[in-house]
Amino acid sequence: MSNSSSMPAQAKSLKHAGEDIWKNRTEKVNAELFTLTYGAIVSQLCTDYERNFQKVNEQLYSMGYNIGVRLIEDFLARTALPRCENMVSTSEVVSKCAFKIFLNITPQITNWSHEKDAFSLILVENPLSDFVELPMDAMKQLWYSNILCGVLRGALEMVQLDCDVWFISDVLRGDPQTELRIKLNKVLKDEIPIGED
Amino acid sequence: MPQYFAIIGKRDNPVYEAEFTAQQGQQGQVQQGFPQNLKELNPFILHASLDIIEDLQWKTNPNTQSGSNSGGGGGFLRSRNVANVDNCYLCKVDHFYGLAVTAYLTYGGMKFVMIHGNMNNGDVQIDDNSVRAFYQEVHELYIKTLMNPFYKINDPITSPAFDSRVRALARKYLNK
Amino acid sequence: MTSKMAGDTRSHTNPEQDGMTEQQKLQHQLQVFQNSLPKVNQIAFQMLLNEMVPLAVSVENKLINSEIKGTPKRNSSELEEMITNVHITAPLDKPSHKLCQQLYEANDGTREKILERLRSMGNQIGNKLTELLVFSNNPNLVFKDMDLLSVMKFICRDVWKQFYGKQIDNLKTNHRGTFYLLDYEYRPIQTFALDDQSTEEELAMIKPFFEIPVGLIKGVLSSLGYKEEEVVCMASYIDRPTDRPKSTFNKGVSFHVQVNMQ
Repeated sequence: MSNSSSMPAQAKSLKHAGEDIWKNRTEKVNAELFTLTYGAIVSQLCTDYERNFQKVNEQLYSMGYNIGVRLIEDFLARTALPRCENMVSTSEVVSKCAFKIFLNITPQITNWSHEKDAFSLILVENPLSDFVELPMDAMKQLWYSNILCGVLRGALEMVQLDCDVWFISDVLRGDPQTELRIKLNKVLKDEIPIGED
Repeated sequence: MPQYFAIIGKRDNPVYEAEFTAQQGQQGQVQQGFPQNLKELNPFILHASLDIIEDLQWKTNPNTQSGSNSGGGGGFLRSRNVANVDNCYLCKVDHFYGLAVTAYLTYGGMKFVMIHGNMNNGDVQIDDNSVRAFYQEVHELYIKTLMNPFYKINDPITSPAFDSRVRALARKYLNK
Repeated sequence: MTSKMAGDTRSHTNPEQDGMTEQQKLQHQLQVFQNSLPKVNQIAFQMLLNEMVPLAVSVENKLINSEIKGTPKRNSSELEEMITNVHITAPLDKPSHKLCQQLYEANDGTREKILERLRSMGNQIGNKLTELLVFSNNPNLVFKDMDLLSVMKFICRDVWKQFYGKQIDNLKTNHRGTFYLLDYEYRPIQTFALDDQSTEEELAMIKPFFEIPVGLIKGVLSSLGYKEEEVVCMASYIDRPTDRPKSTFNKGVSFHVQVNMQ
């Protein structure tokens, strides 16, 4: 990144803020419980949709969206961060604050598009998918952690960022890394209330 | 000496089984397995010992006074003969023509059972410490398998990763 | 007969416990161990749990839809292509509260299918959960006296604490297989602020949120040897005792468990 020299400093302070909130102001539960619960959801969906994994992906995505549009409230209240001025600072907030505070992981930001409107998050750890082994028939079709895409899409939309979010690869499928892509479509106008009814 | 190890489910159904043979015997003997005739008998021997394990499992502990801290005082007292959590290991529970059978129970009611073969018709020596350690680590692997949402309790464990890890544990603890 | 859950070590009348300190030591060790395990944010977990209710409704909607339309099954290579090439945002559901509203208005048959889906997920969690908590050397559950009452206490203390951040407030039993687990501040519904004017409709809309723990309880029991067909579990509202501090939700929940043993 050959950005302005203020970036590293900002990133550093975001990292600090995320860690501080996680450490001192967050009630925690055992990750095993979280993993087990999410696993029960995915497995139930696979049964309900008779292993039509495309439908499972969609359902997880839309479940995530409905969580994201509400989770952002908690996030903004907790962090009291100012609005991000560009996608670069958005990416820092997502990785160092949002992922840190909710899942205690800090995905790596990489693969910026030339226009700086799209980036990837590399998830080295993923509490959703600990211990998971995909069955053969799901290997090429199921995006096991697709709920994350929905959460991000929903949350970003609530701060006026209309984004596409999708998985490019997943270690569960035998890929070398788990990569999640976020691409900005457009910045929404303030006066349009989304998800309001 | 060879071993035949199995995980038996709640309906006495086999969930996983494996035979371990010494890769490298002490005196350079290689691939010391069960003789063919015994190999075929193993599942039967193991099944016969399930009854004994069940007995041990449901046995009322004479030290537990009925009524103390227990629901119906006798009626559905489900005590077991092992004293604490570390002690899922039941030691040697049965023997059959010089073969010894050991067992281990999980809280969820899965039975880990193993037939220990002998090498030169001598009595089988069981090193409880290493056998217990083996069972405990397999238990841990089993729990990790359970955490996989696509694995249903009581189904056969087919994961090659599980199999190779169990075999690695056998080499570490049983056939040193 | 009532046995208070809070400070339960005292009501333990085990004759062998000459050292209460030993028990406390084990409890402490368990606490230290559990603190050392990986963690996630409680709010993230809570939202995931609560979102299961609208999720179950949405699934039912889609199943009914595809039944009506009779969508032909695509072959798998076609599917694969769709999934790899298309990342356009999936069609979104209605907002969660609309789905919950829909559940309230659903006919009995549909509602029962949705509730059954919730219980099934709870059951799956409970079934596997026992091995995990127990595995971490839990002194609250020992083979030696694993009768039904101590299993219920395990649910009240350990399972509830892990899931809902608090223990069950009160456990009642007739010592013949009937138990009432009373939670006066059932965590998942505390965010739905309801005052004394709460209507029947509002209460009925929130009730589906009891079904996951219903499945959970049955799952834990079945993993410990109490077969599913031997256990009946139901949840209902109860009034909170007047001496408890006011909470945001003015009703408690009673989980009624009936274990029929031969």
